[in-house]
Amino acid sequence: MSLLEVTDLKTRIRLRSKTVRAVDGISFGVSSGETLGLVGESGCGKTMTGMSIMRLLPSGGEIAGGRIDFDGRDLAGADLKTMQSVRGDQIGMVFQDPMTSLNPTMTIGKQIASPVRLHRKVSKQEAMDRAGAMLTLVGMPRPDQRLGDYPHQLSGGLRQRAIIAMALACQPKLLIADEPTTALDVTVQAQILSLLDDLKGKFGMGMILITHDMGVIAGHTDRVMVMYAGRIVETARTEALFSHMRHPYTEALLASIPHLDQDKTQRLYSIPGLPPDLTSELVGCRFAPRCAHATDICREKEPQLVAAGSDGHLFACHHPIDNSADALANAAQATRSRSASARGVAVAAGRAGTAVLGTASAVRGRARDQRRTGDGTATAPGGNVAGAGVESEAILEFVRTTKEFLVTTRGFLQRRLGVNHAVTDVSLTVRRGETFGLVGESGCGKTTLGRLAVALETPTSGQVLFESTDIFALPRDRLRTVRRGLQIMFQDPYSSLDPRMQVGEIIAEPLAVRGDPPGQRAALVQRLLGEVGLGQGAMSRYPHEFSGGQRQRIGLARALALNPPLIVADEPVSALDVSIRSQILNLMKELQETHGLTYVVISHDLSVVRYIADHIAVMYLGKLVEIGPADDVYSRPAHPYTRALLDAIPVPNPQVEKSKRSIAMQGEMPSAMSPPSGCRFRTRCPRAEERCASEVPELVGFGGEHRAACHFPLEVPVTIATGARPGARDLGARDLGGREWGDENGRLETGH
Amino acid sequence: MTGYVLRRCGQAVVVVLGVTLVTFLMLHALPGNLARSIIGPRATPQQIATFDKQYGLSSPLWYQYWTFLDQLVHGNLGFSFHLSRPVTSLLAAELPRDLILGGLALILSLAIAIPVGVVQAVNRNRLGDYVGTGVGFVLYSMPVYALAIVLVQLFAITFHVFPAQAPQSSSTIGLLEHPSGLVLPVATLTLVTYAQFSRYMRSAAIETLAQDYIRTAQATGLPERLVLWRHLLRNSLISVVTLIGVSIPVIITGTLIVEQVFNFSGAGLEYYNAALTNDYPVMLGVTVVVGVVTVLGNLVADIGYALLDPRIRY
Ligand SMILES: Nc1ncnc2c1ncn2[C@@H]1O[C@H](COP(=O)(O)OP(=O)(O)OP(=O)(O)O)[C@@H](O)[C@H]1O
Ligand code: SF4
Ligand code: SF4
Ligand SMILES: [Mg+2]
Repeated sequence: MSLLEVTDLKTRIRLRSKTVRAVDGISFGVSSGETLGLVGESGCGKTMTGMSIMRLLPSGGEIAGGRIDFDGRDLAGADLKTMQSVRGDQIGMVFQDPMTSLNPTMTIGKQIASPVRLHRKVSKQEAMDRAGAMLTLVGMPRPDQRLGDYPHQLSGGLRQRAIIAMALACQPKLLIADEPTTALDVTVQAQILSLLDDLKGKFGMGMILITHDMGVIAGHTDRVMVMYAGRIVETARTEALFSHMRHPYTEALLASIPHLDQDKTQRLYSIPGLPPDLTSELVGCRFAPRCAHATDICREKEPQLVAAGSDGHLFACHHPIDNSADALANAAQATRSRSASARGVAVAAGRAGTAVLGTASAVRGRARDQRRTGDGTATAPGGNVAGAGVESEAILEFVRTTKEFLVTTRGFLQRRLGVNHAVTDVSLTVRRGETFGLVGESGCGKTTLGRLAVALETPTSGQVLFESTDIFALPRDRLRTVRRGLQIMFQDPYSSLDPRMQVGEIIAEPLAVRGDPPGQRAALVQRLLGEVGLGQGAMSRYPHEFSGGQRQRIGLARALALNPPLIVADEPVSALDVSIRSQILNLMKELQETHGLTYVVISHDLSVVRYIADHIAVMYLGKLVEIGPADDVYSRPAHPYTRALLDAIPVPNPQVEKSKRSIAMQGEMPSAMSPPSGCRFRTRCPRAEERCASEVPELVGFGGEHRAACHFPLEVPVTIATGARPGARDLGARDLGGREWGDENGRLETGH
Repeated sequence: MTGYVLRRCGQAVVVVLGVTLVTFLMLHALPGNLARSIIGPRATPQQIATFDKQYGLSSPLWYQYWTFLDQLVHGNLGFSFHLSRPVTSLLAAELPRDLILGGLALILSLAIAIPVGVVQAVNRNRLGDYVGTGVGFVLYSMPVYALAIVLVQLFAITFHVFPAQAPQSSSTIGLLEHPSGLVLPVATLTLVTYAQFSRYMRSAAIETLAQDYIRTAQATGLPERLVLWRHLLRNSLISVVTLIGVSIPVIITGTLIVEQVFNFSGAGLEYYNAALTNDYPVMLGVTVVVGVVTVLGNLVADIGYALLDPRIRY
């Protein structure tokens, strides 16, 4: 008997005129000591499943049927009092956004002690002691001091630790973690996930881990449940799911993630369309409108969950993927891709990993031969994106650019609190026609650099050259003209479009500012909408009538309106679902070719940047730490920080993920108000030595344009005289599974 | 914190100085008026000149202002020629009565608005909330004197529960000896102020209820009552506290009208009379005091805000 047994759960949310069937008859169980992963696109009912168990549904929400058996009682019918005694005591919950999930006016200590006081009937002091002990347990530095801190005094990662401490303070039997790391940086995500794993073991709890990230699923769950439109479409043990997936939706989800060794010349797979509206009556398979294998029976009869093999693997599909044949084909493909790419996930992965690699093309056409053509293009050399390889002229240059922000108190008499060193002495060149990727953790200065590029900020010192002219030395009216050639596309597709303007007006606005006659404007807007894949009907509609992906298309159309040579895209896809994400990335690539665009893509997601960028710059705390051609930086990172970032990315492959021996990097980025002396990364660097504290490392070359700023790099620097590379290095060994620092270089190892 | 309070006090002094300067200049905009109003419309230019000389009105404006400030610092607000008594003693007699009226109304309206706003927010878009919003809206849109007249009609004339006039005792203590006479003036002012606060409190509480940390607290099993008390109240008060500072001028204007309607002798009535007779030292004195009270109110609100919200950097 499992700890939690959900049977035929149905959750409805009554709106004014309609009812959302958020969860529609799902059954599953969670045992003690086990992690169940819940994955699926946005709106498929993951959160509502968790909230149903907690009975914390939004207003209008109710459980319309089914049982939730937890530890000997049915929570579906329990009264409020019972639920209040279960919540926080028997079941803990961790939420997505640590920035908003803690009360800003109450100290951390009080908030953690509150459930202890409530459920354990202990004295204030005892509860506070428990809070302190919990903070120690979740790895909070200086826990006793932190008890008296308010949430705003902690970083996102530390806040999430505090929330975990609060959820676990009474040692619950079950923990529900709803996207606990989605709002965090990839390095911090790795820390939090491994903390959750640890604590689950320590407390012997059952855990439900809700996520949309297949990589997180691969590394941190025992079983997976794939949800689509309020239903379970497939569930299996994690390894089995990745190696023998049967449902087309599972496969499609995986295929739309750009993985690190994605072939850049191929379009990313994307699931067409959107999940169905859960307020309407759904007939047949809910995935049918988006499924490449749908037949008439799919549209008429809803498939029921059936067993696939043993060990509780279930799926609901009339035409499941025949994975035995696929697996063979994939194994064959793996051998090829290993020799071709000589790098990456596949090598260490073994069979399951290669299944992942195969999916992109597998989805597009079931026919085996078609897949083979896909592989053909994958291994074909050349045919690369414009600008890679060929030396084209510089379009944008940063010359020793520094940007500092004065930090002051609010209000009338502003008192100076310090200086935020957002960007410090950055020099780099973006070439015409290429895509330049800018990566780093949040707060590293990448957005500021992007804003400097489009003259939304003025540098404190140094220059920004656009087409070889210093844009900040230009007279005002000239600057205005130059600015038209520099467009920016924002992260949040919801807040960056004026809700009171029609889409047509939004796109035409820059044209009107330039002084185009109205007739000409309308024609151009129509053309732009067509180019970004939106119909003419979009013109007279308002932004709220569009989905996130469509709004990002509108943003792209607006950026394109003035036909700029350069577009800065600040986290263009991070607010989007994986399937929509690949649609936008494909579109961006297409437009680049047709318009001869240069992109500067800012993102914290290294796989996205990897897929789209020709050159990459890695930033840490305002400094450029590594720069070079994308392939070089990803395959032979020279800077320990780049390496740590790459290692922290969750790979959608259970073997690789679970073989990660340790967390890539401890701690969090220090404040930009007082960056560490010498190398700014030294406080978190596993290779740091005395010299790192006293001497600022300069960028040195690692062959070609690949440069990094580190005193003890992971690669041997290449001086012009001795261009030789260390011969002993075996590229195949540098997979994501082997996470020794400087593992393939004897010289570096002896240094430690 | 101490540093913050000191700095805010410093700002307050600057603002009060600004208030005195502006009032002073406005009241001096028409020279000669004062003398004419004291001596009478038939005053000869010579009489006016003598008067001006006697009271320092012929010296340069900056010097007059300086003298005024100097006197102010020494607690002297000038002399009312009409009433033949120092403005200070006049205000000392009248102000405490207004403080009682305004202070009571402020405290009562908050005491009602905060819980009602929270209850409305928790039950939003249900019948009780609609009723509450309706009542608040009627009160909000009603002129103060109209409200006062309705109350008088209802409670004094129709039902004889409370007197229609404020206690006429000249001392502050005497005012408190007849509390029933205070009921209607205080109630009028309270309702007017309440209408403002409850709207804000309701929307602040609704906004707070939607916050993630409320859900976090519920997920720890905290009973609803404690969720409201520990998590909702303080966070919604943060936005209302600022409003208290801003609402002080509203209360003061309300006091002025209430004094008229209920024949409640206070600074407002004096100001009204002074305005009719061009008794400018009284007008200046009252304006300065009102300015100081407003600035002080905002100061207290800001400090309260800083105390409630740990995110404020001092
Ligand atoms: N407060 C609410 N009122 C009405 N409908 C809601 C509410 N919250 C969620 N829904 C609906 O319930 C369905 C399931 O939503 P849910 O939040 O569980 O999805 P999810 O899988 O958690 O998505 P995400 O990945 O975006 O968190 C969706 O159709 C959603 O629109
Ligand atoms: S049942 Fe049909 S439509 Fe549904 S997932 Fe299977 S093949 Fe696709
Ligand atoms: S310079 Fe030192 S601290 Fe900085 S990355 Fe290199 S080894 Fe680490
Ligand atoms: Mg969710």
